Order: sequence, then structure tokens, then C-alpha cells
Amino acid sequence: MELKQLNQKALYCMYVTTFCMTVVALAVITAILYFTSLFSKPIVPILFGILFIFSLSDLLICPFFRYRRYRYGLDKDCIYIREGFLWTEETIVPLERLHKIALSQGPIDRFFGLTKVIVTTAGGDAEINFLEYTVAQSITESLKHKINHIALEEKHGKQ
Amino acid sequence: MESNKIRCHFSIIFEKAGSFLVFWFILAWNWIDDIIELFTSPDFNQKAFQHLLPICVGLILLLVFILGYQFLVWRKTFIYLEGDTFVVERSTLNRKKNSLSISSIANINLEQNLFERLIGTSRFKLDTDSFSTADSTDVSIVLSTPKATALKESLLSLMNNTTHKVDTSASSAQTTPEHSYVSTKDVLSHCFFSLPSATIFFFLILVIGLPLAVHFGYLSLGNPASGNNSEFYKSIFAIAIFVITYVYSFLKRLLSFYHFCCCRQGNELMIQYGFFRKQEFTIPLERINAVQLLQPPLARLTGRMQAQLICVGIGDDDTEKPQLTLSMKKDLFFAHLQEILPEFSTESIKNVHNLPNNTGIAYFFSCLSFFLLFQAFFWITLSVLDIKSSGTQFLWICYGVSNVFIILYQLLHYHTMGTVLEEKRLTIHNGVFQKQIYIIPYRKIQFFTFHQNPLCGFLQIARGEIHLLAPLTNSTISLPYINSKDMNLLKVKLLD
Repeated sequence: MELKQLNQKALYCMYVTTFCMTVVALAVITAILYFTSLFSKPIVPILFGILFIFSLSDLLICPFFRYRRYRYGLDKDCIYIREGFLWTEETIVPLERLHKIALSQGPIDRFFGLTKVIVTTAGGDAEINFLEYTVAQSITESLKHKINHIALEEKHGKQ
Repeated sequence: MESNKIRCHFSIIFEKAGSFLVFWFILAWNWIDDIIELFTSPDFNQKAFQHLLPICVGLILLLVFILGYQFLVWRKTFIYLEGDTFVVERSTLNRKKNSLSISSIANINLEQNLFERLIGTSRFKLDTDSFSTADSTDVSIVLSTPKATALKESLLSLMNNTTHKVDTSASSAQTTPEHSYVSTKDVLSHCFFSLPSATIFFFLILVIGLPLAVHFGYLSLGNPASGNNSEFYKSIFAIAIFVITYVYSFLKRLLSFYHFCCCRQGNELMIQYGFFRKQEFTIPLERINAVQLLQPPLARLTGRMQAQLICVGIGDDDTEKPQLTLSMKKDLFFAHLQEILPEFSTESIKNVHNLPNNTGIAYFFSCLSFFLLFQAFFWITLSVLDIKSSGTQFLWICYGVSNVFIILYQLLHYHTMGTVLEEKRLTIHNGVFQKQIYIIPYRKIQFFTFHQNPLCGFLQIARGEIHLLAPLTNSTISLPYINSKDMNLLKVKLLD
């Protein structure tokens, strides 16, 4: 199976997404610490500082390596997705188990012209993220053909 | 086929209108004193009655309207078989036609509560093999018991590819297999040996923790002989609440599994149980996605086992339990499982299962990180809450017990984990205090995911998740450590 890498736009999208999530998380933590007056405790500012540094390093480093490591591929049998930086995740979905294929775009995805393909099986969903819209469409079309082919084969097999 | 259209039982009208009737009854009960006072007061006259009359008429009209609407729904709802589909059609204000393919039926459940048994009806429930409705029942209708049984038999015949008309007469009773019901003693022992870990821990806390707390003066039982005995009664009340809750849940389990029976009927499994609510499931073997063997703590200590099914449709609500066998001694259990479900071989689980060679290192670091996180959380909390170390013996005892518990938890988890890749099925051993063994045919796995941290990547091992078609609680099964060779083998088996 030929594994493909994401487009450069995916890297920018990952940076923006991580930035937004980091800002929201830090804002929520800051608000909680401020309104519960926990900042006055000597250890809390130190811990918050450590958390801030971790978040900043995560924001700077993770998207780059996530982008570099992200791979997806599909052949006549299955869909393969590998993602993650330090903690990696590998997903294998057999095509004959697919029930539904969907395209989805969030606001940040739309800004960068990216899409995610969501494949649904009877046991749950798997996603191929940060794809260019045209690539996502071609994957969807290709999956549709393959699923139809499998369904026809099964039907003839039963007959 | 449409000439065999049948309706729900008439009692459904009152059942559907029941919530309104109950609401009305509660309202009247709450106001009963006011109403009596109003009617018996000396200033109650015709004028007051004129004010009350429209309210009473309005309520009666509302009741008549609700009953009338439910009557219309009953009158216009038909159930029939059309080709290879099961149809529930309703044409009241809205027209609705639910067609379920017979080939996709996952199980048929006949249910009877006490009231339904008195009036001779059964609730007929159907579930289809679909992910979107895995946590709900697709069809739930009330029929007279002979009709429900006949409809079930007709559906089963059609599911087995034999043409069979819907015969709603009671005379269509077919030959049934010999049922061997489990004795009440076995149900009692099942309930005892299936006690969940949490109940056992609470019991241990009560037995060990309570005397310790009293000894260190954190809890006073007071002196019932003295005048100030409120603390004594509070403590007794707390213990009583625990005991009552435990006895209630025990009795509930006992009654729900009363008269348990599971037997094989060709290519179907038939499971029956229940005292107040009698349930009868019929499950085609093809719809069983996995079998889960369970050993709750007490069963594990005494060498007992029980089995549950993982399939769509059973377990949608609290009263449905996908029990395949009750808790019994291992030898008996394996023989019984082989008899009723030989398709799911239990040979591999009798053998010792080993984890890949390097798992110990990866697991040790994973546990260490969790242990260190707990220590950090504890000490930071102490620092933030300004808790001084003097005079807090009870806190230190809790801290020590927690540390021992974490270590015990991790050791037991490591000892329990394991994966065996057989020719046609995957066996997963998991759990901590309660051991769970999953037997999953490869063709029933929908997809899987492997997870690796840097150390696991270096050691060429991974953990993962198996996704199945099952209710939400069982749709994702955690896969313990496997090596790269088994990862590849699993991929091959999945795509085979």
C-alpha cells in the first residue's frame, strides 16, 4: 500500500488548531485559578508557569511532528491511517465493513480549504483528517466504487 | 401477506394513556383534603359548583380526547409481513411505515410483566443489526401472548429461509426444545459470586475502615445509653442505608434471573429468565458478535465463570441482561458452553496466556508514571490546602492504603492481561479484580486501532482497541499489549 503525506496547508491548519485549543485551555485554567484565589498559594504560580511552558512547547513542536508523521493510504482491501507525535495511533478499516462515507469541514478547515473524510462502520467511525477538498472528494468517489464493487461481489456470491 | 395484518392488543390504549391517568390520580390525591373541605364547607353553594363544573368537564374531555387519540392510534396501527420485510404501519394524522428487513433482525424478545401476565399479553420486541439503533429497541409492541408467540415463530421460520405465513392462531404452537431451568439455589449462588468489586470494597471499608476510624477518634458511635446519642443513630443509619441498598440490589438480581434457562434451538439461542418481568430472547447465532466470559472477584477466587453475549438488542434497558450462563464451576462451565455454543471454542482460554517479551518494561514505566502522577497530585493538594502533617494519622493511613491499592491494581492488571490469536477468532484477557475474557471471531471485528508510546515503539509492541457492532458499553474492547508479529497477523486475519 502506498502511504501518502498531507499537503503543506495541513501543517498551518494544525498550528492554528493547536493554538486555539491551547489558548482556550489556558484561559479556562487561569479563570478557575483566579476566581478561586488559588494564585495566592505559593506553589500554584510555579505549577502554572510549568504548565504554560509545556503548552508553549507543545504548540511549537507537536504540529510539526504530527504533520511529518501523518500518513494515510487505501488499497483494494482497507483504509490505513497513522497519526500522532510521541503517542502514535494506527487505524485499519476493512473496506467491506464500511457503511457510510461523509465529508466534514470545520471553520478552520474551511479557511485552509481542507476537509476530513469520516468513514462509518457498524462499530464506529474513523477519520482521515486535513485532506485537500479535491483529494477528499476523489477518495470518497474511489471508496464508493470499491464498496459498490464489494457489495455486488457479495450479492453474486450469495446467489 | 397483507391479509395477515394484525393490531396491537387493546390494552395498549390504557398503557399509553397511563401516564396521564397516573398524573391525574396523583393530582387528585394531593388535593383530596382541599376537595373534601370544599364540598363539605357550609358556604359551598350552586355558584361555587358552577365555577368547578367547567374544570371537571375540561379534565374529563381531556381524558376522553387522550383515550380517543390512543384508540385511533391503536385502530390505525397494523403489523404485518410483506415479502422479506416486517412492517409496522401507522396512518393517523401522520403516516408512518417502518419496514425492517427480516434478514437484519438481530434478536426477538418476548417480555411479560406481572400486569401483562394477568391479562394474557406479551411485549414483542425486535432489534436489528444496526449501529445507529444499537442502544435502542427497533420495534416494541404489545400483542396477546398466542399472537406474539405465533408471530415470533413465523419470523424465525422466515429468518431460516422457509416461507411461512403469519398465523396468529394459538394452534400454531410449534415443537419447542427441552428446557432445563436453573434451580433457585444456582441463581442464589450466581448472585453471590457475581457481587461487583465496588460492593466488596465498600464492605471491606465498612469492616476494616470503621473500627479504625472509631479507634483514631474520627468517628464517634456515641453512647446510646447517654442522653446525647445523635451520632450513634447517624452512624447506624449510614450502615443501614448501605445494607439495605446491598440487599435490594441482591434481591433485584435474584428475581431478574429467577427461572433462568438457555438452550440451543438449531441455529438460534433461546434465553429465558425473570420473576416479575419474564423475558424470552431468541438470538440467531449469526448475530452473536462476541462472547464475554466473566469472573467477578469472588468467582475468580473460587474458580467460577459465567458468560454473556455481545450482540445488538440485548441490554438496551436495565431489565435486559445478555446472560448466556450463570456463574458455575469452571469444569461445568466449559462443558455447558461447549454444549450450547460450540462455535466459540474455549480451548485457548484454558491455556496460560503470555504477554510479549518486553511488555514488563513498558508496563512498568506506564505504572510508574501513573504512580508518580498520584504522588504529585497528593503532595500538591496537601500544599495548596495547607494541611499540616501533625494530627492527621487517618490521612496518612488513607494515603498508604491508596498506594498499596494502586500497586495491587497494577499487578493484578498485568497478571490478567493477555491476547491469543487463534485460527478463526481472537481471545482477549482483560480486567483487574474482575477478569473478562472476550472471544471475538475475526469476521465480526469492524476495525481496530493500535496505540504506541515512544517506549512501546522502541520495544516493537502496541496496545489497541477493537471495535465491534454492539451496544455502546461493549462496542470498544481494549486490546492488551501485542508484538509486531501479532499486529501484522491481526491485520491479515481482519482482511482475510
